[in-house]
Parts: sequence; C-alpha cells; structure tokens
Amino acid sequence: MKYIKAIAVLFLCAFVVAAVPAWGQKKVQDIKYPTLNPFEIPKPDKVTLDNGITLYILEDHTLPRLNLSVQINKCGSYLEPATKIGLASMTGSVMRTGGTTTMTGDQIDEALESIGAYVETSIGTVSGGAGANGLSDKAETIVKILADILRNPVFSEDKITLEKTSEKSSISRRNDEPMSIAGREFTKLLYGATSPYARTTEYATIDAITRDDMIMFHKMCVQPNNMQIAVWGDFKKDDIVALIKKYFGDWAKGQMEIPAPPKVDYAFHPSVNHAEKGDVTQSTVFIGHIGGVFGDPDYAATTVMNTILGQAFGSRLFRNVRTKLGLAYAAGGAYTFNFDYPGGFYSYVMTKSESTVKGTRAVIEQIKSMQTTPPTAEEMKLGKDGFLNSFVFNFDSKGEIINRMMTYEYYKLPPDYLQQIKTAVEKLTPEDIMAVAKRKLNPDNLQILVVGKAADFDEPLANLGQTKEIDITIPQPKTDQFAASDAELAKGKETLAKVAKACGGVATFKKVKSVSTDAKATINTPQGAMTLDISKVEVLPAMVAEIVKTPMGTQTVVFDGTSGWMMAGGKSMKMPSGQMDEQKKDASRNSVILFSKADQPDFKVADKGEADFEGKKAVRLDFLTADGSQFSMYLDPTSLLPSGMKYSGQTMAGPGEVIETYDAYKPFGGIMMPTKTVQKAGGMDVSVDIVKIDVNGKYDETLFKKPEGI
Amino acid sequence: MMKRNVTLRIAALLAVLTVLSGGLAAFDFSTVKSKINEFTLDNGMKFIVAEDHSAPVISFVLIADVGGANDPKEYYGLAHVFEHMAFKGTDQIGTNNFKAESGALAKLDAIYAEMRTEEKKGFLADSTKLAALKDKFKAAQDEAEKFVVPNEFPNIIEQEGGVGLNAGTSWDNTSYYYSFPSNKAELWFAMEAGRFSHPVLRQLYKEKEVIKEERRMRTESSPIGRLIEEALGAAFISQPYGMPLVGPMTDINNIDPETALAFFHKYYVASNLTAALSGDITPQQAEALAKKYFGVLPKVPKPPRLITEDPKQNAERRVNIFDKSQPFLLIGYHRPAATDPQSPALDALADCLGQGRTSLLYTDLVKEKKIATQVSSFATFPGEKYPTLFGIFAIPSQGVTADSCEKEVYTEVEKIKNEPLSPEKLEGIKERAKSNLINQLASRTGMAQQLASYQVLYGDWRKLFKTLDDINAVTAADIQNAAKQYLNRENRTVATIVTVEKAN
Repeated sequence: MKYIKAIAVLFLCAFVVAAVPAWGQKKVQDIKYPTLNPFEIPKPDKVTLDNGITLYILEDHTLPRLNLSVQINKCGSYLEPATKIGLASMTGSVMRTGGTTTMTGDQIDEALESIGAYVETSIGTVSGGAGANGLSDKAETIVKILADILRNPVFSEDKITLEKTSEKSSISRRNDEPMSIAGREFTKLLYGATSPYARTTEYATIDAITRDDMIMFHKMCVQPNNMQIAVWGDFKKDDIVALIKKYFGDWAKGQMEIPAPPKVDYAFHPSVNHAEKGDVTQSTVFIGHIGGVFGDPDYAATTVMNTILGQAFGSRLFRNVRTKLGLAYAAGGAYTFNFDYPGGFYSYVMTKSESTVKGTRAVIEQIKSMQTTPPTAEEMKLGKDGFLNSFVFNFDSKGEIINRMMTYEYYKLPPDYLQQIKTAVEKLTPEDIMAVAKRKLNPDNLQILVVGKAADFDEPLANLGQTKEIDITIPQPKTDQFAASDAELAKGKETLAKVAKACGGVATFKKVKSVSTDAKATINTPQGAMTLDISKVEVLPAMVAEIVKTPMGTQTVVFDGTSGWMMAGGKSMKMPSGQMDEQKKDASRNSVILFSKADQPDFKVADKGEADFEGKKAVRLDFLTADGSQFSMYLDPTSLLPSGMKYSGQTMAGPGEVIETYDAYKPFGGIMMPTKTVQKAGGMDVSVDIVKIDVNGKYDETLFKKPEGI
Repeated sequence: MMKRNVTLRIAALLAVLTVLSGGLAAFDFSTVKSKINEFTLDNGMKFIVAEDHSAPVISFVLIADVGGANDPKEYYGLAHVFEHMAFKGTDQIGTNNFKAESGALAKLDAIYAEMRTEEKKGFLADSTKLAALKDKFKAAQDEAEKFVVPNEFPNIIEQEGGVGLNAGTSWDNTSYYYSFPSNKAELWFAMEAGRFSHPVLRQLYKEKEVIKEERRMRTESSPIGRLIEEALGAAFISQPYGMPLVGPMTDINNIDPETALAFFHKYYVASNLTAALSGDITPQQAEALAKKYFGVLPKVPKPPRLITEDPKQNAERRVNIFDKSQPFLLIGYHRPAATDPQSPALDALADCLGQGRTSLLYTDLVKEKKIATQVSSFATFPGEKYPTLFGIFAIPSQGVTADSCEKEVYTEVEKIKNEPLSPEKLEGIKERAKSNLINQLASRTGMAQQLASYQVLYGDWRKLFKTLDDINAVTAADIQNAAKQYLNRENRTVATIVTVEKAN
C-alpha cells in the first residue's frame, strides 16, 4: 500500500510540473496528460453459506455507513399467471409493507425511520431484490429486519388493500404522461401485448390477486438457494459475516423448482402505430426493433456503435436531429442487451406535433446511415476513446464493484469480462462498426410508434406506412365501487320505502315465508335456443331448491343456506364453492327480503338519481349489503316497480357483468311480481316466462333434506 | 454439530458487540472536514477541494450564482438559454475558422436585430419586409453554419473520458458538472475557464428551437408540468419565482445575442463563480491549475442580490386545471429563504409532516384513509435563496378527488399545530438528518454538489456540517410555532388537477 502511494506522489509531481503557465493561445488539444495514477481495484470477498446464500463482502471505512443489496435470482412477473398480472410486483412491495411474524409493517417503518435506515424490497420482470442502508452502528437492527422481511413476511390484508389501491391508481394514471404511454406500447410492439415482458396490470388482474397467491409466490421465489447478498461499508469482514450468518444462517433451503424466463420469438417486420393523445403540443416517437442478449460477441462493437448513433452529445442523432435541425430537445437511441431475454433497439425523438413526420424521418435517416456511412475518425475517437478513457469509472465506487461481481457470477460471465470488452474495443475499426450495424440494425424493418395529437401533424402518418391505431383506453373495472354521499344515502332509504310500498308494502313482505314458482326458461346461446321447465322453491331468508327438466333428465340444485348440493340420475354431489358463493350473493339480492327490511335496512342503499337502463329512463338504487355484496337496482320512474338489476357475477365467460330485466308485473298474494324476466351475462341470454307463483303455499320439505355423504 | 452451533452463536454475539462498540457517537465529521480545503483567486473565484485518493477520478461542480430569478423582463428563460449556449464552445473550440465565423455571426446577428425590430412593431410590422429579412436570415445562418464544428465542446470532454456531463438551471443558480479520470484534471480547468471567458454564441437561433421543444416536453405536454407553472404563477405576485423558468415561447423567441452577452458579462464573473472538486487531487495542484486557467478572468464585483420580495399574502389563492388526466394536489405556503434562522425548524416540520412512511401525512392519507398513494412535504420550493414556499403534494388514489385529499391535509396540519411532537418523533428527525447527510457525502459527485451549493447559498461550505447542530437544537415548540406561523389559510396557494372527461 505504501509503495503504491509513493508511485502516486511521483506521478502527481510530474503532473504539477507539466502545468507550466502561459495559457493564452494554448489549445486544449495540446495539453499533455500524465499517466493515470495506479490504484488497486478493491476485490470483494466471497463466502457461501450452507443454505446456498452467496455472500459478497467489501470493507469501506470512508464513512460510517452500511449497505446491503440482495439479488433474488430467478423471480419475476414472468412467473405470474396472465389472470393475475401484478402479483410479482405486489408480492415485492407487500413483503416489506405487510409486516412479519414478529413485527407489523408499521412497526418496521417506525424502527427503520427512527434510526434513519432504509430497507426496501421489489420484484421486477425477471429478478427480485432488496436494498438496505443506514449508519454502521445500526448494523444489527438493519440486518435483522432485512432477514425478517425476506424470511417471514405475513402479507397483512390491510397492506394488500393499500397496495391494490396504489396499483389501481397507477393504472388510472398510465395515460397521463406521453413518455409512459410510449414506453409501454413500444414494449408491446417488441415482445407482443400478452408477453410476460410487455403485458400490463389491469383492474381485473389486480382484483384477482389474493393473499394466498402472494404467500405462494414468496415461497416459490424467495429461498436462500436462489439468493445472493452483497454487503459493503464500514465494518470488519468477520463481524459482518457472523451477523449475516446469525440472521440468515438457519434458513432452510427451498425445495421448489423455478422455471426459467421464457424465450422471445420475434419476427422482423415494419410497422407504423399511433396512439392518440389530445392534450400535448409535442409528439413522442419511438423507433426500433428487438435487441440482444449478454454474452453476444458483438457486445463491444455494439457499445461503440451506440455512442456514435445516439448516446453522446456528438452522436449522429443528437448532432443532426437536435443541434443541426433543432427538431428536438430529446433525441437518441441505443441497441440494448439483457441477461435473460433480448433487449431492444430503441431510438426516440420528442418533437413538436407540427414536425412529427419530419422528425421521424430524420431519425430513420441516421439509423440507415450507420450501415452506409462509415464512422469518421472523429466519431471513432468519440466512441472508442470515450469508452477507454472513462473505463476507470467502472471501479470508482465500492457498490458498483461488488454488485457487478454478483451479477457476473450469477450469469457465469468471466470475472474479467469488462477487461475483455475493453481489449475488444481497443481493436475496433470503422469497418467493424459498419459491419456490426449491418448485423444488429434492420432499417427496413423498423417499428414506429407515435404518441401525439394527429390533427396537428405535419403529414399523415400513413405517409410512413400503413398506420395502426392503438386504443389506449383503460378497461374500466367491471363494477363501480360503492360510493355515496350522505344525501344519496338518506334519499336511498326514502326511495326504497316508496318502492316497497308500490310493490305491496313492507308489512306484506315481512309475512312472506316462501315463494314457489313454475316457469319456462329459454336459453339463447350463439349455438341456438333451448327451452326448459323449471320449478323453484325459495324459503326465506336463504334456502332455495331448483328442479330443472332437461332433455337429459331432471336435475335438482339445492342450497340450504349453508351448504349446497346437486342431484341428477340418482347421484348427488357437493356444490362447488364458487357456485355456493354465487348462491349466497343471489340470496342477498332477493328483493322480497330487501323490501321486507325497507323500514329498517341492515344494508346501505343510495339513490343515484336518473340513469339509463337498457335504453329506458330509470332511477338507480345502489346497494351494499352487510356481507359486502354490491348491486344496482333500476326503477321505472313512474310506477317505481323495479325494471331490473345489474351486478357482477360468474358468467359463461368468467367473471363479468350480469343484467336482469323485469317485465309484466302481476300481483301474487298481495305483492307485485314480474312474470317475464331476462338475464343477460357473458354472451348468453336466459328469458324466463313465469307460469305460476305461490306465496306461502305448500312445498315439498324433503327437497331440503341433505343427501348422505354431503 | 451441536458444538459448532454454539461456537457460531458466540461468534455472532461477539460480532454484535464489536459492531456496537465501534459506535457512531464519536463521529463528528472531523475526518471528512480535515480533507476539505478552500482557496480564493485574486479575481474572487472560490474553490473547494475535497481530497479522496481511493480511485483516480475527480468530480467537478461549478456553480454560477445566477438563475432564472435574474432573467430580465421580456427575456424570461434567458438564464436557461445561456446554460445551453455554454456547450457551444469558445473561440478555439467548436469552429474550423474563428475569424471567418465571427464575421458571419456578426452579419447574421445584424439581420436578426433588424428582423426583430420589425417584428416588434406587432400588427404594424411590414410583412413584405419581414419575409425578405427571413430569407436573408436563412442564408446568413447557413453561411455561419459552415464554420461550426458541431458539439466539439462536449465531444472533447466525452472523448477524454468525462462522464455525467450535464448542467442544470434553477431559479437560484446554474450548475455545470461532470467527472474526469484524475489525469485529465487540467482539461477541466481549461474547458471551464474557456467557456466562461471566451464564450461564442454560435447556433443560438437553432438552440432556441431546441429549448422550445424542452418547454413542450417539460411543461406543455405534461399535466404536472402545466400545474406547476400555474401554481407558481399564482403563488408569487412580485418575485421572479412566479415566472416560467424555461420562459414563455414569446420570450425564448425574443432572446438575441446582445442581451445574452450582456447577461453573461454581468453574471458570469469570477466573483460569482464557485467550484468544488472531489477526488484524486491535492489543493496545491488545484490552486496551481486554477490560477493558470481561471486567473485570466477579470476582477469584477459580485452582482447584487435581488431586492424584490412578495408582499405579505392576505388571501388564499387557488388554481384548478380541468384536465383529462388524473387528480393531483399541490399546496404552497410562503416562508422565508433557506438562510433564515427559522429554516431548521421548517426542515424539521417538513420531515415529520410528510417525509417517509411514518410521517403524519403518509400515515393518515396513505396508510389509514387510503385516499392518496403518495403524499409528501418539502421545506423549500421552488428555490432557497429568496423567500420561497413550504410545499405539500398529494397524488390521490383512484377515484378520489384532490379536494378530499386537501381537506385531510389540513386536518393533519392543524394537529401538528395543536399537539407538540413526542420526544421519540423529534429524536427520529435528528437521526434521519444525520443519516441523510452521510448518504449525500457518499459519492464524489454528491460531496462536490453539497460543498458548492452550501458555499454559494450561505457563503461558507462549513455550514453543510453545521446543519446537524442546527437540527439538533430544534425543539418541539419550534416546530409547532413554525407550523402556526406559516401553515395558514391566508398564506397558501392551492393548485389541483380536476379530472374531467373532455378538457375544454
């Protein structure tokens, strides 16, 4: 160490001597630079724990800090089902916020912030991780909390709700900033809209995520044998290793197999795409195609090519599109590499709406020039010298050194990979750059995405090629959340009382014990219609038996309020739990019960005023029942008889909106009942013509006798 | 097996003991401070050098104590334009024939002046004359362009291994920064002294088009950008903090070489420049190079500070943007400049009110009521040098309006006025301040930025280390008093985005 210092001093002397005065006319190009002071690149130590955690350690005593970074190797949104997009990222957040078996999330916040420390976790597309830092005298608290979060998260429901709120808010905001639209939609063009590398969260996919999903996802990915930890800062190596062993050492290896990230199948093709954004004065244009994977022998040449094309003040895109044409503040581009799946070739320009097509053409021209005009000596200097002269900045921070080592080891790149790239860059010629541009860039097959206000464009985008309109409308949540003002709630009660009166009166409804119905049901499917005879017995509050006569024989479906079963051909089976939930919700929507409680409702009801229902004027009542069931009832504004209902339920096409319409009211036992109803859901219509209704009549009580074995 | 476990446990225990005994209580920044030196050139330019020889690199930050607040009327955006022009080179860099280029530029600028004179007649301007001038201008511009070596100035820096090359303009000041391998230290002095002693305003007219695109990107096409412009415009009625930093389109258009150079000669003087270097260089080396290159700058007195301050605000001010984009809430309360003695109390107030997950606003609006996904408070916005705003912003949850968040923010603000902070909360503020300061100093760039900023703002970089003492002296009553004094209805400006299906 002493020796190195001595050499350094020697060089510094030379350096000062070289700085003779008399500037004036001296050109900066004439400055003689001393050799770079030699320095020792710090080498992190590596320790592997028995459970498979690889630990990298680097001491740094400059400041009293401690830093940790955890890499969860195989983990990411590529592992989540298409119906639950957002699961990986939510698991990554709630792991930290939802608390552990020993501390609530709020207690963790308090513990960390009271000592100025930071621990955060996240899960991305193909990997996950955690980061922590704080003052080194708080090392134990930090390591302990970090381990607890990774090992024992409990995913509390409250913080799941919070994270869902946040995820849904992000969805609602995703079309506000043009850059966020462009980034998202261009990624879809590269990997396909449903690819795990491009797909986006939607209200429905966030709603579908449960706590159990997160627990399973965490169990699958966050295991010690799928994890590396880097730690650097002000400590002694042995101390920190002991501390990490104390909190991570007894964590048993995980057993679950984790699939590798899927391959990308990209077919080169040109395309022009437009997403309309009416509130901007500037278009955001992305142009490019698929990119490469690390380990590619062209990596060094591509890096230099990127600098010349669009990664420096002196690059062709910056020089021409910005400096020379004054068409943009932001213009650039790069061919990028990823570790697990191909990166992208992205170039971009943000130019006023009135120069959209001009700006786009200017970028394409520069991309093409990479294959036709060899780099000048000046450009080669920019690309090569810039890389070589700034090489030392790869080693100027301890965090960079240790994190890079961790990444290289996991992806099995040689430890001297950077040095190899440097050697390769040194040898590059202008011909090499032209050749790599020909291999990597495909100017005939560029995909173009323009986010902007089409009415203000200089030329129609069609002049660039057949243009596809991208609809960025955000699919709305299936049902609105129940929300009502105090006034709407007060009016809701009043209206409900009027409706109950119009239908026969609360007192009459309170006397109803059972309703037996015979009906003809016609099921209209895209394949044709089918008519069935149905007899139904409802015993209030929640028992219901349905006997359906089908061409294949009689089927009986019974729900006794707590359990349900189905019988056909002398055999019986338990009702699936999903259908049972639907039955319970059905019972909560039963208007006989709702009206019987109109004087003292145990549910919330809001009068939302005039609304459109199936093409007719109506008054809308929104309901929220004690068990959380939500639905809207639509009333005929004159008679106040219900015209129908809307709610979300199970349909033939999965969860979706169900619409029921009611017609042809007739009195039965003092109450008004519709004799014609239609239920529309998931592309299937069921219309029911009621033949007979018997209120409080006799019914076969044996229907509700639970069969053996249910 | 058993035995090994016991040994491990003992080892772990010892480890903890050692870690704890090496405690931080004694860390008083004296080691850090002892490596920081300063010197001032005869012309008044100030240098601060933080030595760190752990890697052969140096981070440089140069701050000119001039910003958007100094923009002259009809030329709003000039400070920012000049920042862009500082990348255009000198009489030596950026040209293939400076003599010929100066001639071409003089001709071009004369035509431009003539054209602007005509244009400024407004509706009385002679359109035939203007059209002819525009053609002449175009031809002269093409002529001048022949002598330009585009982007040579940044190219030299990047070729020689400079990284992180950029600059930034705020209302308060303009900073220029990048890092070099330490053997290129002399180049930094040569380049920076060059651009601030012999600037050439080449390609000014094209750069103005670039800056208009910057305005379209940052302000016009971004909902938050639009809101901030409206909010500041409403909050300040006299002070230049209320003027658009990037300028309105008219003023960007209006900027001419004469005004830009006058601005340069007034504000880019040695006594108004401060540089901080952090890395592999000694103060002696730095001083020798500084004298050699920056010594040529003339000795001119430092330009005075601005006098104008906003009158006391007497009414709440509101701006609502009716927009298709999602709701947003921004509240600003007038407060004194960062150099005011009450500043530490306001910093502490900002911390406990809205910084981090345990802050009052976050706990209430995000965690408990779930009506916002983000809420934050900041001690100073948009500047620090002059009386400024204490800011609060909230991003409402989906389906929640800015109004609902606003009401809840006020409830929490009232709480902090009425209940003194617990001793634990107060202690937390102090711990975080210490940790934040150490984090800021952890990178060379961070160190150089902080030293230069504190030197420029307070006239002494040592103030950076004194901030901890200042925060430690703050009491719960100080925080409460600051809240009572400033976070009031008559002292605030509220800006919201109200979501509507169709804008306008």
